[in-house]
Amino acid sequence: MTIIRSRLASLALAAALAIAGCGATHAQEMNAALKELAAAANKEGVVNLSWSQSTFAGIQGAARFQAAMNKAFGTNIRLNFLPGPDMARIANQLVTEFSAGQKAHIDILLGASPQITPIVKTNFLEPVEWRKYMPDRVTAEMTELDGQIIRIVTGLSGATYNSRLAPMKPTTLADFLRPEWKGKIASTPYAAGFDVLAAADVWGKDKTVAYVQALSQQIAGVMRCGEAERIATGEYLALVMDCTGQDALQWQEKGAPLAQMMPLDAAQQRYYYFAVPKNAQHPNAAKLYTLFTLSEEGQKLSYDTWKTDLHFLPGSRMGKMVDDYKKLGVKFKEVTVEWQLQHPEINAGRSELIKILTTKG
Amino acid sequence: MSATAESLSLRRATSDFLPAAMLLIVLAASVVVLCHLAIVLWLAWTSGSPGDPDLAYTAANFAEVFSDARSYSVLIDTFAFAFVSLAVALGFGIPIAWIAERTDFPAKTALFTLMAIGLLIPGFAAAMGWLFLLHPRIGLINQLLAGLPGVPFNIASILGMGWVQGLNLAPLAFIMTAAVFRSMDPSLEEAAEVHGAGAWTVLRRVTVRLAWPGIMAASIYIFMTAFAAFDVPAIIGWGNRIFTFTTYLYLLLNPQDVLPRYGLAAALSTVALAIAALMAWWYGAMQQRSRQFAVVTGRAYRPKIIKLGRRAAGAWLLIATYLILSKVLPILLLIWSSVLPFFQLPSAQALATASFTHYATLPWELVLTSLWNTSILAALTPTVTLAVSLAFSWVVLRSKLPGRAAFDFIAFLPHAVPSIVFGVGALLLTLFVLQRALPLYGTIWILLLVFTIARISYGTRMTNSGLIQIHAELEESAHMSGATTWDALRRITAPLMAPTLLYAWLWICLLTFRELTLAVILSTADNITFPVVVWSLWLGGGLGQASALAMVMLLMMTPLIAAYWFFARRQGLVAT
Repeated sequence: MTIIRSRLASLALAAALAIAGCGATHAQEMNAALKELAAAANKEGVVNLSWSQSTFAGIQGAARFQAAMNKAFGTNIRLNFLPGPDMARIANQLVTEFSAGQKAHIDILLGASPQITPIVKTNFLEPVEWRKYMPDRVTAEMTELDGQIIRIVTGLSGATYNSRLAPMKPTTLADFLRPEWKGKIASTPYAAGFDVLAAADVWGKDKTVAYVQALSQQIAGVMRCGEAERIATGEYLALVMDCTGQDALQWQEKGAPLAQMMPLDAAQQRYYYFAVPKNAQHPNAAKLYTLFTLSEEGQKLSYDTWKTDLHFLPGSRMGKMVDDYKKLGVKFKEVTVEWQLQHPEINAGRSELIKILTTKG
Repeated sequence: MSATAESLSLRRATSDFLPAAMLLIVLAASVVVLCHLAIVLWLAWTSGSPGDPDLAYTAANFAEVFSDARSYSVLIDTFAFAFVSLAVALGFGIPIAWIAERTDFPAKTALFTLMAIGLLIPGFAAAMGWLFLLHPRIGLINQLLAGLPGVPFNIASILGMGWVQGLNLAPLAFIMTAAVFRSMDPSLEEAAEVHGAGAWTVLRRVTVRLAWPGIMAASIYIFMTAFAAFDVPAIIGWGNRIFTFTTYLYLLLNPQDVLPRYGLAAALSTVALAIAALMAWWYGAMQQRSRQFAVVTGRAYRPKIIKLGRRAAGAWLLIATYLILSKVLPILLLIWSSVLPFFQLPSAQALATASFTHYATLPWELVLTSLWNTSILAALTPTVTLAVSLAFSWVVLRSKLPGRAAFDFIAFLPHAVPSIVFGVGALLLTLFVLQRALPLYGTIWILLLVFTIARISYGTRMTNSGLIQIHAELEESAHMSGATTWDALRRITAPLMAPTLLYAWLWICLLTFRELTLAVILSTADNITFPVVVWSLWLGGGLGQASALAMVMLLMMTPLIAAYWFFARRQGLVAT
């Protein structure tokens, strides 16, 4: 009886949402599964999110996503955003909460393959059948690990540099080993990008270690990818390698002389994923938010707020960027979680690379 | 014994509940402190994470720590950094405290207020400021001196980091030693003068020696604070691959390639625990000696005020130099960076891009939530901490309990353990041990508990210093007259300690207001604090918005501090 009552209530709410959403742009395109999800999400009412303030424009971006999502689905869900630390630390906190049998402090994990690969074995992410909600939009290649993670946007890894102060315009990673860069550049304390190069089917360990050792003699220090302002100020003239090129584009808009170099010899195309923890407090709202991010409107907002979208979706601006780079002869290595899991040498060699980069020569 | 004395003694015996209550508080607090440390020690012998079914016991963490040459180089750098910080902090803090308390310096209230405000300026903001002043490539001063051979100054060094940290810690040295100078009996100084000693001789051979226990307490405390400092080494050192103990621990606790290496970090932390034990032992030994320095007795006293005369110019110069270096420059840089789209050195071109966009786009709802949480913590933490600290000091210094010195040792331990490790211990304790019985995770009460424990060492250093200065004969006289311990505490000890307690309260309040490391580890959406919002914005959104919020934070606190000092001055509790 309770189940019937609950289903009737869901149907009534779904009907109400459909009526309420008549004026909305996309509500009429929702299939039954999506309507049911929207109803459940609306009941939850909130999504707790946390990532860097520079990602999806942080709090201001969350407000824009909230308005657009509620308009699209006819819901009234609040995006409760908290500016957070780096992705790895958030992932570690979620794993710790899951291990302790506690509710997750946020409902969606955002990460790329370096952050997600180490935690896959903890099995705390919910497998979701994403395609059933938006079969015309979500394709099989967008999900990995049986739907535990779903691609949201694309990132292109290279090097970010100060175009006004740089001694030359770099085109390859080898350029940064030239004397004019010595003592003026930075790398990340987590060997961003180099871990991928160490894969057997990219550069391999020996070549990568040799390059990183040479680079370590060149760099003045280390910084996180999100600290691109330090390149804008001239504290460092370049970040080799960066995580993605979004920082350069974002700072360019503010008038900072930042540019990204896509190395012909080491270009990487990676993805940022969303995942819903099994212990999420608002799992349905989290899934609805994820699906909205993949919608046409959501992708447009992603580019507006973070200068990136999923490059293979129709109308993608990253797609055009990728095509432009390819015309210039850039060959991207596609970095996915499933690919990284097939290359255990990446994680095995990563600690060595980190140690080389973080130790002053 | 007379009938009256017997009656008074009986009254004391039946109604004197306070000693037992204080012992109970001390025992409970000690258990909580030891539980946090036990978690860290336990983790040092494990592999994997708590809750992991594959968790195993191993000595591999210690083997890795002690076989890695980097552990030793990090420790050497940390000691060097802490010593430079101590020298700078004492170099500014003690003379300014002496000027404020023992001379006729005319602007004392302003001086106290400015020194207190100094504690509010986030360490990372000051570090960023100094980076832009003395960075070898982009430092303003270095660019002005560009024509000279070589780089004159390099902030990206142990010396540079120690300089910035020392400037940040000088208010601490000031507050801790000001209380000592204020409580000083002038009779010995007067006696020295009567016997022909000059002002310098009196200062060197009497004043400093009388203040020595307080100065030593401050030194040990500041040294350990610098040893456990995070923000300055993170901003200046990390970027330049100079790791101190805490930044190296942070590296281990937040790996990008594997799950957190709690065991390895905990094993490294045992080194800090050993150092803490040594420092605590040293402090205890010195405290034993310090009993002979009790300078407030049953006799009336009033610290002698020295007329500065022409020396006032020197005092002004010292204070102005300190304030410009430690306050004015960082605040100016905060203001400058808060109005720029991205940080640039001052120029007409940069000025043309200035606007109030960062202020307009601040996340006000989050700011107000965090401000509310922080205000609650800033009011409760010092109050609870001082109540607990007073209980510790009373048990250690006034009771006859066997082995009571151990409590002082326990009270000092939280300070010695870097906040990062302590925070992780608290996180794991609340998540894995306490959660079902006491669901504190994600509430401000976990922050109150951890902040209080973390400040017990601060609090007990202050209450110990205050209680040492008050001879036990005053309380013994009260007891002889039939007063209970509560009566003696309320009517004699507490009023005499009021200046010390007020200093300590304010000090802990301000430190709580800017506490970052513990809050970062234990924060969620429900218990986020003001500094965590500033820090998060800085981490992800650039210096501009974080600087704007830091300025808002300073503006919010300044009238409160001014009002506090105005009130305290009217009560006669602040030097005038």
